[in-house]
Amino acid sequence: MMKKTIFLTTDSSLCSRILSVLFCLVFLPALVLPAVGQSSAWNLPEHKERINAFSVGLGNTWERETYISELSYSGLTGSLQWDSWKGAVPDGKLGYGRTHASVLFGRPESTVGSRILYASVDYFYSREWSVVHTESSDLLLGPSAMFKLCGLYDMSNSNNTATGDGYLSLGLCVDYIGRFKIREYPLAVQVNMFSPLIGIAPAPNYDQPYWFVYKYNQYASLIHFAWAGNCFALNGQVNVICPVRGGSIRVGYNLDYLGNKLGGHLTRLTDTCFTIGFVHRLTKKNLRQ
Amino acid sequence: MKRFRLYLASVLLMALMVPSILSCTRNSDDDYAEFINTPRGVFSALWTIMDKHYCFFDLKQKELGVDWNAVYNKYSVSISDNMSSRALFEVLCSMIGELRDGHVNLYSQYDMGRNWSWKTDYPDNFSEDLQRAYLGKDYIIAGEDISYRLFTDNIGYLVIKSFLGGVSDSRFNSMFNTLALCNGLIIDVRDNGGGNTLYSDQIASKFTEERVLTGYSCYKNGPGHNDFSDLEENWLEPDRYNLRWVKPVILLTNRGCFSSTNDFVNIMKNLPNVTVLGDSTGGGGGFPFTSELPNGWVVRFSSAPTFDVSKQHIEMGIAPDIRLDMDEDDVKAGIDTYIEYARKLINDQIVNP
Repeated sequence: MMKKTIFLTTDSSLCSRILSVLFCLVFLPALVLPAVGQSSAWNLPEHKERINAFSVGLGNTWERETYISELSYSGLTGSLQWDSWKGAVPDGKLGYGRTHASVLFGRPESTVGSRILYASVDYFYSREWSVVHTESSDLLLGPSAMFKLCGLYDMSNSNNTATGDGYLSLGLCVDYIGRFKIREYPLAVQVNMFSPLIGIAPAPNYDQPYWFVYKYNQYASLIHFAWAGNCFALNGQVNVICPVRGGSIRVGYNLDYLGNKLGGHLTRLTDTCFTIGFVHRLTKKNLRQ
Repeated sequence: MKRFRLYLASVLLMALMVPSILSCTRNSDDDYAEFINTPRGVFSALWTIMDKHYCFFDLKQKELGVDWNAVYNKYSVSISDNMSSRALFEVLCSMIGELRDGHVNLYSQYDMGRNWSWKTDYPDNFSEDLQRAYLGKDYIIAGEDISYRLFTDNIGYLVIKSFLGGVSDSRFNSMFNTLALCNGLIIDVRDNGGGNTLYSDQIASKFTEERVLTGYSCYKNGPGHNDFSDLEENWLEPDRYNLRWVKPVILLTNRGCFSSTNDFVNIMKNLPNVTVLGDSTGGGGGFPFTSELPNGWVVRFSSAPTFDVSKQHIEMGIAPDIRLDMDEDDVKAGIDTYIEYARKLINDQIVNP
């Protein structure tokens, strides 16, 4: 009866492709890259050692929301990002501490010309153990506690002009580090993925106005049980580490995806950023373990 | 051995990711369809947004005989991909106009599409010139669009032209002090098209001594025409921190009372010291939402309905306690039939009971 374009085919295909590429990026280099010496661009932190990496990024936000109207938004995104690795206690299980935090902001425009304001903060903390350690690669894997909150300000759709999305979850973190050399110059590829598996996420119920929530104290109705089937999220990064005098520079690509169908609405948020930053290796005797 | 562990880890990871991948790929249904920017795409988007989110289809079918599927068929034949934007706007306005809901509008670069027959098809029962004459020149401003004066027969006259502006408690306290010795108060909300329900609730709370049940509200919790949340009770709490008015109140209404003014009348009607005099209100008992169409036009529609204490819709208007029409001869003579009748009611009730 109605002429429509169904975006889900494209979207799900995109999602699968992203996952596939990330898996390839994680695992294939470990199999094909030649082994090089440990005098490389990036090694795991030792006991009482912490590696901090700070980056700024510029990229694109793509948002697909069906809150009342079915519209897509896209536009420039800026980001600030911090990653940290903390060395493991010798012989300790899940010894590596891994932290990721970032702030994203953008003002994407819809296909019909209206704009929304978008900002997100996230904080992930993981404990990882070394699954694979070779001369050329390291693979870390572990459980993660994750928090993400996105704020959307949309004057054109509904009377819930400001709405939120996000999750508080337990999930999984994977870190891959591949070391290689171009001529005599050591480089490292670092791939990281966070994905929540189970937790809670906020969403209003279909056409539930926020004034209704406020007036009738329906705050609990905003909280939904979330798992990977109804709220899928992925934070992936690919970075190349280049040692320079006094430290390292990292150049990377960051993908942040959040999709859920909570409250009867489909929301998909995709942020992509090309990032550049520096890596600082901190070794202190008094670093708390 | 290490390669084996790597493969093992990858298999484990992929197994963990399967539900996630499935969640992305299984949505082959068309629940979330993107409409394209063609006349038919815009038409379909508007019809579908209304179909999934408008809250009064059953009521409109019962009261006005509107069948939304029949509306689709009726207007679909008028849509062609080579029609002009203005022609499309006219067809879409006619389509949503079938609902005769003041909260249903279509905004474009040309115009704001509306159907105001809920007001224009009825007698005005209001003269702005007369209201201005009754207020005189020395009236007191108690807030944005809120003015009052004291009549010579010791009756207060309060005009609330809209609920768009904020309400000043101190000015209302001052007003109640000024009118403290009055026999009663006439509140004129005729042609008040509404505003913010927070303000109308705030004013209403100054006219009760007790907590009063005033109605119910719910919202749409699904795309079906009858998908609604449970009814929530609406209670009016007395304003415990400011002066309250407990003497007789005559509330003047006409068909121009819409939206939050309709809510105000619905609340005030439940108060024992309030008598509603005049014509039925215009309605507007649905909390409006807005949405965009693929060509950038904006549609507004009712999404969360409000009910009176009998759990009846107030969308079609609220009947007064005393029905009255303006007398044309009175108007010609510079007399406001409503105000004079209200004065008589208060005098009969207080001065000559």
